Amino acid sequence: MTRDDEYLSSGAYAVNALNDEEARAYERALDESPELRQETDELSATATLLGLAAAPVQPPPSLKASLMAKLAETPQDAPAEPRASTPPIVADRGAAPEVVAAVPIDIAVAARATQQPAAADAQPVDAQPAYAQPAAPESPAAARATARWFTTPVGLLVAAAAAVALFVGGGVVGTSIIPGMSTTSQDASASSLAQIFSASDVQSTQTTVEGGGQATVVWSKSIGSAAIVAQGMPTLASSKTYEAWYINGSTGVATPAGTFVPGGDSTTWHVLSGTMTPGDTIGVTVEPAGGSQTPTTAPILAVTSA
Amino acid sequence: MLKLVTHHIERDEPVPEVSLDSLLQRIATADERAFSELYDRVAPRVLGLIRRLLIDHAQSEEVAQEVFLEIWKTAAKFDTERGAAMSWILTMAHRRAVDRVRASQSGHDRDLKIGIRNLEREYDQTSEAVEIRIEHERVKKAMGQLTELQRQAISLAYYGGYSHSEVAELLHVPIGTVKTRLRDGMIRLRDEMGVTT
Repeated sequence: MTRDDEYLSSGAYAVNALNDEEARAYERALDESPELRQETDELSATATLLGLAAAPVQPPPSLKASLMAKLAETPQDAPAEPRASTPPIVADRGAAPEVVAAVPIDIAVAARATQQPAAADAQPVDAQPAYAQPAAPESPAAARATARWFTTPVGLLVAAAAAVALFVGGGVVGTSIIPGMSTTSQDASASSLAQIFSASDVQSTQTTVEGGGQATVVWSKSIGSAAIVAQGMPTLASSKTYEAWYINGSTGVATPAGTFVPGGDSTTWHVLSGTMTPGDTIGVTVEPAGGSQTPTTAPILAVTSA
Repeated sequence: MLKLVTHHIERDEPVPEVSLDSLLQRIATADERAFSELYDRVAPRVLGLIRRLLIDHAQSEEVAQEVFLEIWKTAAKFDTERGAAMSWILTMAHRRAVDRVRASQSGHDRDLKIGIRNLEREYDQTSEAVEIRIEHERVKKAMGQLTELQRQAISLAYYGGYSHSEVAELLHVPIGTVKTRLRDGMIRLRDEMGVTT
């Protein structure tokens, strides 16, 4: 490509009309020309406005649910230029940097102790206490370790957090010392949800919730578990709660399956506690705070697992 | 004994909203709540754009899912110096949608008029939120300043997902002409809409 060709292609690049090979050549040219880079950034921003003019489409709640469930299994890339002395994970958490800095390292160490597959790469680092000092100059191994740290799958952190909790003598204490610990219970829920979604016999039904909102009920007979993924369910007064039930298909007996708090407009999921028997109806009722042992109101949602 | 298990995702900050940029920075540190919030805020835009190119509902959702997983994976690479988060996200969504269009539909299956017709239909919709209608109007007005040929080329390429060579074939003009129209048209749009970076 000559310089003129590149400039000629800026519009085509911005609307993704170049083929792969041309786009790669164009990107190489970008690195050498600040002017071309400037024009390209502006035309890409212009293309974004074209994109925003497309009519929005509200995704079904199931899309977010399956996505959130996949996060735990999706490793993250390291930053393009790792900044060892100011790891984003410390810098961005804000409130109490020293404490936050110390905890992830504990978790990382515990993670290695509990996670065999990580051992090969991590071993040289285990022997280096310097890893616990973010300001230390990076060896290539440390750089890899940093990358590993940033790419640590969340599932690993869940196991690690559990290990940390054990070290300090119980889950309750663990919760109080680890910022964002609530996220890990979410992760545990996310993996239960992922398990249902990835089951070969997963089934789902979308339904409207009486009183407001949409819900997708997903279940798997082989796993014997169900989840409710809801959006737009109204927030209840503090004296009331939503409670899920497995209602037996032949006897009609309702077994409590956990209370939950929906997230309003954002998507919420609740993996039902207990075991689903095929033919059960999955129901939700509004109950007094704390939940009931048997439903006291009519279901606002009921889906029969077939 | 009954075991109560409650999990939910909630927005970290109600109002004012945190910037998408800062959400991306938090996502880069595996912050699922930040991801959840970002999703809630941009998913309809992302899916809307993908649907525009792909039409097919199921495929669009698949591509949207790919886009969001890519956001999760590559959030650390987002460079605030290079542009806004929304631009980064929609560029990613557009690329993936284009890839899918080109992989799944051979050229002759696709209707020459898809890009243009959809654009018109888009403009006719009145049930949108005010903010979105204003964006429509802004784009529509700017598009109105283009020559017919520039408008066709941009609509086919951006909203139809056609490559420059396909656009050339469809409009019976040389590829160089298509590139010129795309560039002149996009520069005109940029100036009409006052885009700066």
